[in-house]
Amino acid sequence: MSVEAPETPSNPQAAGQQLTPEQVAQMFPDLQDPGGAPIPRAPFEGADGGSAEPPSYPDGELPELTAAERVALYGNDGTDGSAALGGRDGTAGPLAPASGPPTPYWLRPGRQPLPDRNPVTKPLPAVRSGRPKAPDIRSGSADSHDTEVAYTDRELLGKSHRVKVAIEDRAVKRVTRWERIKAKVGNALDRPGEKRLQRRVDRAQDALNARKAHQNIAKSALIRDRRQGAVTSAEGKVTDRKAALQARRDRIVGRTKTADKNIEARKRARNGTIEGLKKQSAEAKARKALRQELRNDSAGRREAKKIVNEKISAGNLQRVGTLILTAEASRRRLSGAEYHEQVAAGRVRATLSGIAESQKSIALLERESAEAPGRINDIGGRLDTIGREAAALGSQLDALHPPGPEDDADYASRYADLRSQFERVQMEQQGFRNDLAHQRDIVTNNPERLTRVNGRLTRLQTEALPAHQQQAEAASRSADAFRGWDKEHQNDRDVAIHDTLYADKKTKRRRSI
Amino acid sequence: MALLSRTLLSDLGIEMADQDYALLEEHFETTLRNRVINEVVEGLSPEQAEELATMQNESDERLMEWLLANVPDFSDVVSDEVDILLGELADNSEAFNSSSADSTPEDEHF
Repeated sequence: MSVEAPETPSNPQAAGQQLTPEQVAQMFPDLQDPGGAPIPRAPFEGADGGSAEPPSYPDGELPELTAAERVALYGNDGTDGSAALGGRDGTAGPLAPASGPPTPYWLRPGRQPLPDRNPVTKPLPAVRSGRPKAPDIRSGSADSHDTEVAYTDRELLGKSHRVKVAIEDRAVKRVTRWERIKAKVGNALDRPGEKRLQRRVDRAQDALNARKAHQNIAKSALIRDRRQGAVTSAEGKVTDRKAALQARRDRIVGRTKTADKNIEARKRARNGTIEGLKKQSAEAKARKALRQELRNDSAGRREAKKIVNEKISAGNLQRVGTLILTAEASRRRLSGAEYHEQVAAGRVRATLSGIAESQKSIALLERESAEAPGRINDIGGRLDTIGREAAALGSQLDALHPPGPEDDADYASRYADLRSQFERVQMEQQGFRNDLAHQRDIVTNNPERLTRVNGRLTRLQTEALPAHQQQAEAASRSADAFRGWDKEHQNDRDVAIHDTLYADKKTKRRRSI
Repeated sequence: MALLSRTLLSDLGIEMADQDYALLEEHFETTLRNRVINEVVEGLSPEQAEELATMQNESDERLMEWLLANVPDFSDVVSDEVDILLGELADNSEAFNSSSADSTPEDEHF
């Protein structure tokens, strides 16, 4: 689909009107020469903007310019090919590189200024004009100029448009580069310090090596002891300096890693958004295609289009479009506000649930801590008893003599019985030992756990809950405001429906009478 | 109208100067408006088109009500057009991002 430049009073260039010098000065301040002279016209442009009588070139090629035309267009005869870049007389040609800062693309010649943003005063041209004509270079008319500046989807969002250029030049790279550059500048400022620390480490290491070398040369034990002390001190110095150097290096590496991590996180979020929009778009395209399939009365559609184009003014059509989009925008805003309201309410619920969990954990930990000493005593007594029982069973097993020929059956039965008792007692003993270890762990670690859970509870109660409640209230207020707006307009619509229906009924009644 | 916002562009990884943003927003809204009107008119019968033509001086509310009552699947039509255009923007922002990502390695040795 493509959209032509709107022919509006605010866009006289597209409407084929001549721009006044004031308008030109207002729209293209950079293009006006310091003397305030108007921009020179091309030879085929008339006084009214050049659209009246365009020359035609049937063979498809532009004719050679005469010397007079070259002078008029370039300021010299341009025979050496440098005319467009600059005249021999020192004046800059139309393609000459700017000496100052480059002209922004939206102010380059042939570009269209921003159209009037007032939706009511701006007529809509696209529906009735259909696809714009391809630029006809043979005609050389103002129409081709209009086509050149017409907005198309490809231009708007596509491969070779100034928007893309603008985004490429200024957008993602800027954010990415800025973050990386910031990290790298920080690192560059840290580098001299890192080198200084490295030198200090080297010096300390040399001193340590020298002291170590001298340490064992002395024959006197007193001197050796004293030198040992110096070596220890030098070792401490090396350790400290190495730690400082490592901290500095970690800071440098961390800065780069943080920048990379942020970039990655942004990339992931961006990809998620892109995927979501693409999915929605694909679904919408499928629904649209289905709707188009279901519309079978193409003759009726054409007629309806013709009627709309003929009988509804472009301004009114644009008003309808703006009305529809405003309603859609408000619907989406309301939907977004309600979503945020739900998310915020969910956060409050999660925080309250976290507070309840923390309170339960604190009660459990306190009860365990209170019970643990008594349980340890109890388990200690039981372990003594069961230990004695196990020792007795072990003695009985050891005392069981190997069987003689006459008491085989009795031996086997007794051995199995003792063995199973012994194993049961051993298992019970192991269970008590595990329980004892657990109770001792409670006594040792529960105070720390309690402190941690209490801290979490305090944070949830004093920081998270008020913040989330505040967010929830704000989201709720916002959603209420949008709901109110929507409701108000719904009421208006209801009144309109009532009026319409009532009017219809009255008309029908009158007809029946 | 807030169908295109800086937040959305930022979510797509696009940061723009104010003038560039104004240009893009204007393009976006014009394109969307044209597509929506085109799609709405596609759904009208000749009689409905005549009726719409007689309502040019009606209030916004009545116009909106008429559209809701007469254009089949009106909400879906509008919502789908917005989604399609946002999808196109997302498609192209991906191209912007990949093309800009190609040029970032030069910074790596900085």
